[in-house]
Amino acid sequence: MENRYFMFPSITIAVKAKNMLENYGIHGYVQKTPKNFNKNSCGYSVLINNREDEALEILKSKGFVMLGVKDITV
Amino acid sequence: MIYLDNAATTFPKPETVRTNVVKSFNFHANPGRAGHKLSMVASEKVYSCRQLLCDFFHHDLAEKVIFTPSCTFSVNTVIKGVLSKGDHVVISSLEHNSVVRPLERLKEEGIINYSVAKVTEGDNDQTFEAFRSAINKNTRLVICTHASNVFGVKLPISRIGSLCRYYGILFCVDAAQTAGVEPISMQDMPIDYLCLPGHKGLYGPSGIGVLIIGSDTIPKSLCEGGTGSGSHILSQPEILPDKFESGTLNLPGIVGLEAGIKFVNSKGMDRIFKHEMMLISHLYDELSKIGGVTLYTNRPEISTHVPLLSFNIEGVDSETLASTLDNKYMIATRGGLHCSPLAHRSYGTDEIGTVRISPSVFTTKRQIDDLAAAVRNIAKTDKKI
Repeated sequence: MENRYFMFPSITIAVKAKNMLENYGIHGYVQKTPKNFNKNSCGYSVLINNREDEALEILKSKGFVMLGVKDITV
Repeated sequence: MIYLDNAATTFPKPETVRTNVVKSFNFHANPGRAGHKLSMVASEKVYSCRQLLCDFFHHDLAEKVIFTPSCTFSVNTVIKGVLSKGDHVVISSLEHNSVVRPLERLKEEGIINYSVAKVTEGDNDQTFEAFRSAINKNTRLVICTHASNVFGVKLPISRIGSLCRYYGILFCVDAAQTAGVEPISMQDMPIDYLCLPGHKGLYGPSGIGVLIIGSDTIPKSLCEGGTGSGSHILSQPEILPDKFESGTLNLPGIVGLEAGIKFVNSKGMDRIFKHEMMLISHLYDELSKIGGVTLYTNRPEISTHVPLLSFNIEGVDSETLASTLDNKYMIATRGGLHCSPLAHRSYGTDEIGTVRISPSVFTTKRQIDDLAAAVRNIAKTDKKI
């Protein structure tokens, strides 16, 4: 199974992004961004494991600025 | 006790506010710092209140809703964050010291200058013209109260905001007396910065204020420190709301504020406003019949006033009158200058002060009648005290 991390600079933006995706029926949760993903961040990520590409398009279209996107196979 | 000092802070708080503040200690982790579950619950609660504030004030961007310790702190953030040497500011003649004192300090330091635009009660055209005339080529900011905390007079903020847009001037509104009382729309009104307290018309606890930024001009931060974001950099992060929220947030205050806003929504802001205006107009009529009572404004009307008024009894000091109402009649009011010397100067009461009456959603007509009876007694029999 693949998890996708959408990385954000702050908790506020991460929760906002998570809520935005929920409006489209894409469920995820917020967690601290692992340090090895982004050494320069002390931020938070939205983690989802379905409809990842659609989620990316939604977040981009809504103007969310991300620090990065990372896929992890678990 | 009859509590009529709601312009200072609303009392009592709704039951839901009290219970939610207490419940917040069940998840009182530090929001936006750690990644554990309790911290996430706290973060979700903070965001939930931010979003509710967005909905309440018709604003698009939750990250531009900033939590502060008070409305005064919000005002200071704007004033000290957008002004620089040589700037000029226009304020109204009804401003609270939360606006006047930070400006006065910057003026004393030789950084800015400010002008006072006279508010003419009942004549918005003249008030508008006073603001227009006060603007000069160096005017960077217009900041004014939405309604006087002493006399209840409303300012035509939409018109003043439009004037600011026309001249490319930033516009800040101090909504201390109107947030939760009057509809305010960041979408429909040309407001760059909206400053508000959580503990007055929004019925939250004290210690929580809000700054809503509607402008692309982001002020400098007033206070720097840990934000839980961008920790690798030594300078303050520019991202919002983090730039303005250094230090641990007031979680009980935020949770209580959310409950307060929901309370206002459940009652209906319009219904609350009409109820309070009915009370204050009724009081005005009753006080008008009492010999020796001085009222300072026109009869409070929905279109021109918020629900509060000031009065005096001839020959009785305003602070003494407020004390008598408290000690002898168990009625809580506020005497003196209400931290608004400019407003008192405008109405000629800066030497004597006034007694201010401000009801809330919980105030009844019976309580207002009791106040009127107490004033009648004092005017007749206690005048010499």
